[in-house]
Amino acid sequence: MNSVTADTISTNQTVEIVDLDSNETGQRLGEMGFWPGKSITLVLSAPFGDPMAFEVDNTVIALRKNEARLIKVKTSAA
Amino acid sequence: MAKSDSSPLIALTGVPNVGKTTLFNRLTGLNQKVGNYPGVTVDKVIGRMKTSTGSVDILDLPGTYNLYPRSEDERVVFRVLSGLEPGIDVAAVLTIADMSNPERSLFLVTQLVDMGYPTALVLNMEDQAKREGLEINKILLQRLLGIPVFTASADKGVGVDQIKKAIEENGFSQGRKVVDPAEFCDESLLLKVSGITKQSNPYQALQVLKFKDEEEQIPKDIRERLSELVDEYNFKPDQVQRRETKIRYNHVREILAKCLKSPEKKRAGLTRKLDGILLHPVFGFGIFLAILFLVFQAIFSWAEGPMDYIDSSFAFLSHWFSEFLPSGALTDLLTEGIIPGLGGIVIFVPQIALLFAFLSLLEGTGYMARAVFITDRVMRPFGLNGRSVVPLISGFACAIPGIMAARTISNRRDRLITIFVTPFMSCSARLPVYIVLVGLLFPESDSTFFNAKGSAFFGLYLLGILAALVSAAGMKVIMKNERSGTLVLELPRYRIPQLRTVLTTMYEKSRTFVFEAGKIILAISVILWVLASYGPGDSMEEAASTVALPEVKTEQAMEEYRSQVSSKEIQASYAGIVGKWVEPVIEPLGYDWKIGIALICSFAAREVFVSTVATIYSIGADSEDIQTLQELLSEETRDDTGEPTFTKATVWSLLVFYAFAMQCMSTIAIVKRETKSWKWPTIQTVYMTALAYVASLLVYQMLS
Repeated sequence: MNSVTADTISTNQTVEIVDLDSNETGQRLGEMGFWPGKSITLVLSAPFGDPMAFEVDNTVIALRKNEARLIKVKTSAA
Repeated sequence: MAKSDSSPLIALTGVPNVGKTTLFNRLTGLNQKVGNYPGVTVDKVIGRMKTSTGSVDILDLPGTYNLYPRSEDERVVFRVLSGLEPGIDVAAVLTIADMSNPERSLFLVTQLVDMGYPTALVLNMEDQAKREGLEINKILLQRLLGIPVFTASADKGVGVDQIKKAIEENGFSQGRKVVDPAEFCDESLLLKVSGITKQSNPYQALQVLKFKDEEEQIPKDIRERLSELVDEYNFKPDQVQRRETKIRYNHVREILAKCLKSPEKKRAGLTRKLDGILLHPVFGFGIFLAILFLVFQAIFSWAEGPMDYIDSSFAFLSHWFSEFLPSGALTDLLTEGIIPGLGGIVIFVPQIALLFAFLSLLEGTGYMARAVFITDRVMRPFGLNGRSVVPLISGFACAIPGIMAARTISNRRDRLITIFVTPFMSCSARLPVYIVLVGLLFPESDSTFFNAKGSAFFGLYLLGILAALVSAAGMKVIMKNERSGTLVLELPRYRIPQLRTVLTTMYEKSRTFVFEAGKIILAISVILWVLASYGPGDSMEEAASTVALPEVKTEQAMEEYRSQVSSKEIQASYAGIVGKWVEPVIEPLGYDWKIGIALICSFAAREVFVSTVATIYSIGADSEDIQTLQELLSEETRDDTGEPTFTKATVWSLLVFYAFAMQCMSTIAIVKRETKSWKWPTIQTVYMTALAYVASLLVYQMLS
């Protein structure tokens, strides 16, 4: 299992969330649907690669790179 | 007031982008009242729905994803639903969810059910859900949550009657508790909290306990007693909340697994394709700039016709009243103070209405979130974010709609910074001033593409942008203690915007401006009028009598005579006195006291500079002719030294002053209204004026 943070995945890659930072922003991400066990896909990146737009629960949510860094994911290929 | 108190209050809630405001407008029409919540800048919008037996008040709460008070919007929802908002007693909660995308709405819905209010759920956007082949077992959902569930397509008006009927018949019911607070928190603790806060619902009690330190609405003694309990039970809000979120999520997932049948295929195909173009790493930016350019052009040029019309209508009205009413101080107050003052308010309406029409269109299609997405990174080093772009660009037309548009910025710091720096953008009111002054600098006409006038204009606009960005970056450093924002922004699916929503927004924003900021603007314009038209004792009559009546009363001679009289009068007025009074202060900038009068009068609006200068230098009432004005101004000499008044150094100094100074009472009024305090407009005015002063001083001293 490869555990990386969500800001490092490439466009159209789908990964599963394994852990979420416990700080306030992490909590907020949780309430928006970024929850361990869920699959997320990187749909788009803005110019300069920041912010990034992830699909979760059929909704596309844009996060800044440093917010995406709070999400630990595993690449399903492993 | 007694009547409004008797109507039951229903709180309308939901996550963002589910059509909450559309439904609100459908239910209440234009029967809406905007008020304030204490301590926050969020508007309190209450609409009244007529029923067969009376009326029901509906409170349109801001869209939030949960009930935790972090942003201002969330704080308002938290307060209202935790019973902490004085004067608001929620009888029932109507919550609205996107039926085509129920996953993200249900977290909030289950929280609301657990708060214990009689609740009903509207699954909106039924048509879209159907198109996408998504099915929800409404009856099962109703049973699982224990509250009535309706389906609707509010933008088309489908299902609205049914909701109205349910409201009328009070068809709300207390749901089945989705998550028992006892699952993640000590029950005896909650009982004790309820005893202190008098909240019968344990989940409400828990909410208050969790956020007691972030909520100034809670009285101090209660907060202290809660703190004791926190220590006694070793209560850890973060942990409890995390546990709750996890449990709640599992429940939401269970409910969805039972009720929701989604189609196998991907749903958002068209949106994905459009995003491929509109958010293309290269073209995306170009498209965004093109849209902005269009909006900017529209505010700038389309508003011109209606603004001219308003201008001449009010001039006609003044004229008509002055003919019709007996002459006297009261008539003068009406025709020269109040009517032009009102005109000065209404004149902004075309720009405000147009900007908000565009913003509402962009919001309605879903593009706005994309604009924020692609510009966020670029704006961040300046302490701004993607949402600041629209206010700043609108500032090129007029700071007022721009500042009103800053409301979409949820982070307090970013919003304040945006409001603070938007007036630096060169607005259209500076343009007439620039035209006259730049014309004085470069009198020869020059039609080459890169001519001196054009370059001067460009430089002035650039100066404004620079001042805005540098000030923003400075404020970011000063305000670093404020909670810095997160983006976490949903990119909703593209939709066809609703004309009705666009029209309502145009109307609401214009009305807010006229009635809220208008009061302050009217008051200041009357004061300025008094300053310019009255002097101590009969000083003005004396001044006027020094002008000799022409012996041959030709029309031209009489005109000359009248303009000289007005010139003498304004010089003897209170404004003239203030002008002389400030002369020592503005002398180092290269201005004499006559320019001082113009500076004071143009506080009403920057473009007033032109007409005031025309009056002071007795150029005649018809200052429309800019060429004549420029010729005469360039011949003007100073009373004291006999040297030309408008030297190159003075004109550049004036240009820089107008680029930076807060010479606009309407902006001050709207900043007061948007920040709900005098603190920010005061700091802003002092800062901008000080910057203008220092910059003009440098320019004048370097050039002279």
